[in-house]
Amino acid sequence: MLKIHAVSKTFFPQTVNEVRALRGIDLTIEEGSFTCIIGTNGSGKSTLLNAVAGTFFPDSGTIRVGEADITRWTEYQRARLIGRVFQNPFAGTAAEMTIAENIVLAMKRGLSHPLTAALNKSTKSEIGDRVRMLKMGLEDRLDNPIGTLSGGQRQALTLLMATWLRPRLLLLDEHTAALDPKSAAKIAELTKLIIHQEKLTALMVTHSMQQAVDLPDRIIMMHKGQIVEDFQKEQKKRVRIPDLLDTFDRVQKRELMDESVAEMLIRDYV
Amino acid sequence: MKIEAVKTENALLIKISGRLDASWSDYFTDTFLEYIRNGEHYLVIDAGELTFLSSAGIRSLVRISKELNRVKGLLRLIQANDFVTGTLRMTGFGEWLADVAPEDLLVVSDDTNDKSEDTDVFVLKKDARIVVEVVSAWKPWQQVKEKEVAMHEFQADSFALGIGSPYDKLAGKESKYGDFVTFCGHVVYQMPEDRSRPDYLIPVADFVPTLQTIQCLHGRGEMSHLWRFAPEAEKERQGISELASRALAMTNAEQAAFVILAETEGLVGAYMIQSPGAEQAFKPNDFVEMRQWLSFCGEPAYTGEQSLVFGIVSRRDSPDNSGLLVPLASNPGLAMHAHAVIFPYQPLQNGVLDLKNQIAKFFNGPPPKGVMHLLDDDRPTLGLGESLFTRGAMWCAPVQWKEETV
Repeated sequence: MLKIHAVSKTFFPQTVNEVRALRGIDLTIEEGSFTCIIGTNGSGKSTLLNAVAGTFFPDSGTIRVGEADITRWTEYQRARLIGRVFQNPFAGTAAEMTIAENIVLAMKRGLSHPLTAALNKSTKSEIGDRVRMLKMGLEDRLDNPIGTLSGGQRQALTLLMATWLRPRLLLLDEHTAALDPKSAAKIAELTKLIIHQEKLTALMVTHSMQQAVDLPDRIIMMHKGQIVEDFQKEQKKRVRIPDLLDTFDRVQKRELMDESVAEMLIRDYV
Repeated sequence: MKIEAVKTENALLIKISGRLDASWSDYFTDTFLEYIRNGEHYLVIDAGELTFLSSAGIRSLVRISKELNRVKGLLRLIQANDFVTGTLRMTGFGEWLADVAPEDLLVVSDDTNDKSEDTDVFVLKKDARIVVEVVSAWKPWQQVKEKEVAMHEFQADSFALGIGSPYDKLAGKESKYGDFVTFCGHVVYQMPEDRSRPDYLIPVADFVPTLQTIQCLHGRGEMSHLWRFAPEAEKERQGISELASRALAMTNAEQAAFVILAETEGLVGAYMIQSPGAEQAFKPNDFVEMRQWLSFCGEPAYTGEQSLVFGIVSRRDSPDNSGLLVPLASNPGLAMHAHAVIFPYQPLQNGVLDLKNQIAKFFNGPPPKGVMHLLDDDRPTLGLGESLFTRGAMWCAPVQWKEETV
């Protein structure tokens, strides 16, 4: 469904600040699968998500969603295919507008005349039904400004809005990182529920090992702009947090193997 | 809750005051487990000011008692009030209660607690020795030749280290040659893959662990000496070169075999993550390529875990029959080869330990976490040094080389 081929991105090229953020990434995500990207700070995981979302164009390589080559599509053009939830719970909603109004905007996303339909009774009833599944009592507060809600409640609604039109691809960018632990657990649970119920194809970036183990069907580990591990199918099912930590440890240890270590090993590893 | 410990002649006297309930039980348990970890296995609780004991508190005491039972220790409560005494009797733990006044337990100062150097050296069997055979002597960075491959069985008195595979065909990478170590016939083997965990073969009934080895120093026999070591004021940890040197001194030998079972301060070493084979030479050209072959610890590893090490040490001026002993940077007078397997921490009983029982205990407990070829990293500035241990046991015996070796 999502095909990333040989994608590279270098920021500030040929300057002292040059950062090779993505180095020839090849990744295929199957339709209906839920993939999680983990990695150290600066590993390129959010950059990869941004490349898919269209925040910038890659220097080389191609990105396809289904049959469409979206490599040179702008961010708003990709909005027809891609839903996105950001880390900041205030980023995906308009604070002054009510819950219902925010959701109506999400319902019209990607359409050519998005603001033609009013918020009528039947629409409101449909919104109420969908919001009820969040089990936060928000269905009774549809006329309240969304700015009056807690971060967790707003993130739950953002998640619902991003998936309202069943996007071809859902991008989750550390979407629980700014929440308190209880709200983060609730949003993680909702994420899994919505993705499975709607059979969505999703790509999530997280720093939470627990979420990486519990939520997705596949875990990809990035380091220095490259994919260094890919746990899928049976291997994903057996993976536990200590395995992921061990893998991080191994990847970082590998970096410590320099010329002096190699010389010592050649002499002493007999 | 307040916990104050005083060292006495025979036990650690711990005065507790306040309530031992759900709010304090975790703190209480952790504090006591730390005492056990520090080698205090006779714990006497002065419960004179313990005002309340809940079920959570009893659960803590049970946990501590179980841990003490594993190391043949003892838990007693003295001066408990009627409520605590009644609660323990009603719940069937009356055996923990004792009738001793705290002043009857002689308090000793830290100074008198220091033991003379040889207090913990035990002669197990004066004439015992380990007869070592060089079964196979492949050296890394070379192609594996068929004549270097040997199927080898490990008996109940076997100690061994090297590189081998549980598979039975010499078939390039598929042979899966990896670092292994054997204790009393129990073999632990590190699959040469980056993601893998160690696997092990345990002798049960008629099953005799067998490996196809390409490098193997195999010793058979019994250990002659045991040394129990613990942190001391002037020396909080032991380096492996110091332990190896001690093994030579205790056995009065030119070459000695040793087994260390000890709490780890940090291990320094590497293990193979790609199997050498007959089809390709094992010759990394640079450090980037080396990363595909060996996993180096990068920093002292497995702190706080229990290491089980088998090694052979030789004085540098003695002949090395195997060609597999490497000079130690930390003690240039010695050459050594040692492999370690790492288990999750378990406390060790004080005093004389039976090696076979300990091996069986560890191999029948939680699975090993890693296998490592130990190294002495002497790189200028960046070097990690050698492997260090804080508390444990070392068994050793003189080495006698088997004549008909490779």
